[in-house]
Amino acid sequence: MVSLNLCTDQLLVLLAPERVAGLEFLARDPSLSFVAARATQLPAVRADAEAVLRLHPDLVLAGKYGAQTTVALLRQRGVRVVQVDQPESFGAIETQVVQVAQLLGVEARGAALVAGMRMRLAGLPHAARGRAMFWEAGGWTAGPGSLADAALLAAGWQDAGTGGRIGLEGLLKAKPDLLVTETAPDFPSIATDLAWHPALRGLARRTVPPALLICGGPFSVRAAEILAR
Amino acid sequence: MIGLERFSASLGGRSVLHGVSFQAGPGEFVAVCGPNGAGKTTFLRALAGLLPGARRPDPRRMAYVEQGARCSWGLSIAQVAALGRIPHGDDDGAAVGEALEMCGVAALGARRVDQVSGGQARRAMLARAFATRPEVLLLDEPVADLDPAACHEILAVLRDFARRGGLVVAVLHAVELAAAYATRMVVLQDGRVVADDVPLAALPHAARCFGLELGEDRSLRLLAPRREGVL
Amino acid sequence: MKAALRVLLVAVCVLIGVSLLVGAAGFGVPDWLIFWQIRVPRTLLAALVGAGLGLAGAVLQGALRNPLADPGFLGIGGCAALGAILAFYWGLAAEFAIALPGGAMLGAAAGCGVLMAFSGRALSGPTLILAGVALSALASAFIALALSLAPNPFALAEITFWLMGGLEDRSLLHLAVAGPPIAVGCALLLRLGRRLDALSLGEATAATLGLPVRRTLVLASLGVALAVGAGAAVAGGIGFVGLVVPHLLRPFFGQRPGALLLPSLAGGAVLLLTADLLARAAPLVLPMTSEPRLGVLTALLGAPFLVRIARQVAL
Repeated sequence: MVSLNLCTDQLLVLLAPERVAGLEFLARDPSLSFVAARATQLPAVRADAEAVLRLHPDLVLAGKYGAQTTVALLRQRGVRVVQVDQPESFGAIETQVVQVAQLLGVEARGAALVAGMRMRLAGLPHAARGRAMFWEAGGWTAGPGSLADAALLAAGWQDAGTGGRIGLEGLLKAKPDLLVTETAPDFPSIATDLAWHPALRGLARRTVPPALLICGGPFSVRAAEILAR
Repeated sequence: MIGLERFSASLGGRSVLHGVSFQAGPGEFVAVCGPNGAGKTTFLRALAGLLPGARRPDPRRMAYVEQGARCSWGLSIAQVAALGRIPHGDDDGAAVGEALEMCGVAALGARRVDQVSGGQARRAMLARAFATRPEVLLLDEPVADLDPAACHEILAVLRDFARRGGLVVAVLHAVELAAAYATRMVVLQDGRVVADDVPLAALPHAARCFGLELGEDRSLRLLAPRREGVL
Repeated sequence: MKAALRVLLVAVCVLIGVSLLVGAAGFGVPDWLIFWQIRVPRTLLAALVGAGLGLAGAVLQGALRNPLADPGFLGIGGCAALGAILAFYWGLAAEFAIALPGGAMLGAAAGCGVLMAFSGRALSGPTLILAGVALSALASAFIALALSLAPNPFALAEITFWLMGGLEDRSLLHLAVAGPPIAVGCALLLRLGRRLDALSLGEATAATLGLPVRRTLVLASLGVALAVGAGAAVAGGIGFVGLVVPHLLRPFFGQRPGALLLPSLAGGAVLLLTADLLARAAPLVLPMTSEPRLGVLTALLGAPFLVRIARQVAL
């Protein structure tokens, strides 16, 4: 079992870590991957057809985009490659977990993860809280149909974003009741530093680790939990 | 008074001046002559204090015009001349005007120095030197771009400058002109002084340096090289 | 004061006023937070960085005796950006805010040192420019390398800022950290007028006029490093301002290097304020999602002049 995509990496680790022949190196980065700690114990492989073929996997999981040439080459050599989409809602996450669990033959574990998710979502306090603006690195807002939006809604917030980019002035003009940004990373970049601009000091703030929402998985519920506090 | 004491200089590893000694004082018009590569420019630069080990004269009392001097920007001739006041830190318009007159470019003061003829530009550079009202003028080929009439005009100005108490040391390629106007001639060859005397006495040495002969009629004309076996 | 200079100073004031009223929040007076925390630092930085670049260009042209000299074009801006990148992405600037302009100023000083060393060899004008272009290419290559090796994986995506400049989202902290070095650098450069005039006759003649040539070049390098370095630290790589401004002002103020210093300072501020205004207004009137890069706008304005100047020099 090889995974060529950060998101499928994480699903693989959660559902069937003992069957892993190779994960992407990105899965080990704690700022991107929720299962980073466990991933470091498992073998890694470059998304390179030669490297993957050497492992003789019986199944390769990949995303819809990215590593296209590698996927094509692997299929040419007769390797079974399954490509999955990015889930953008909790419902879609559930469907995907079930689907991948079926592929791997671990339906029971899949069902357990889904049940856990449902319980946590139901346990979120229900209270109308006002308008929140999700502001990712680079000025991107959440917007309807995105996972970040789903987390906001699950926590009882209204999403003030439209899915496009807004600058600092636009953000201040929108006057959200809550500003949600990514947790500050270990090392600076201009894009991540922007979340800490002095002009934003007056806004109520919550930070969410980016690893929870970059990929949709059972762990994404934690984002909603943080926002519901 | 300016001078050098057993001064040596090398350029790019090659020795250009070998232990040259020289002294000059007010009232002298010294012409420095010699073949190409003799070290004339280096000699003048040493006097101007531009070489390591050479004494730096007071910039208010000395003016140096280098060979092929040019201005990097299209300043007006008057502005170029005014640069001569920099050592004094003032804008003495009278000194500048006088300098322009002496060099014959007073009427061209407003013209840009990069838009006049080569000869006029050279006169502008000389005007800059005069504007400093120096006691010593160090000039490297000051009349190189000038027509014969202009040559005589400028050399006459320099001679008068020396007569009034100034000191001129000029590298001059035209040995005959040098002999006509200078009070003293220094002949350099291969980095050494081979003659340092009144022009009449130094001229035979100069001729020998160039491998030419001096006319016997004392008209100071240099004859063509004598061919072997011809009467 | 010359009438032309007065016009420039009035233009600076007018542009500052207009700039404070234009932004993503729309035209007109915004609320206090946006005005004070976003518009004021950005506008003042545009004026300061532009002033520093214009003046640095005039001084470089005088010191190197070359009308094609420009801190961006000759690689000094690139070296400054490299210094800033090393200080920023490896966390130094997070601990000491002054490390950001500090790194940039060191980079700019190193770039100046290289160029001044070349100029001392009395190389011809075009050769000096070649040396500067080579330095610029080298700096860009190292910038790309540094960004790809940076600890933060998103660093390389920010290369457009470092190579093409921008003033979005600058804060009062950036103003506080870059403003004083730029001001000190400009003050230093403004005092070099007479010395640069002397240099127009060549280094040898200037030395005989009593000018301490080496010290003058060092002071010029120092001033340029301060003004351009601090500017690059907060605004990224912006070129052509130092090239275009003195060139545009020569017909009005004459060819004497010393006469161009103060006008180039004002002219640089005018140019960058205008470019920044266009950058801010563009997304409001055109279908653009983000602002055009400042360096792109100044390059669009400056490149045609480069061609014109080169032709004049060749004649």
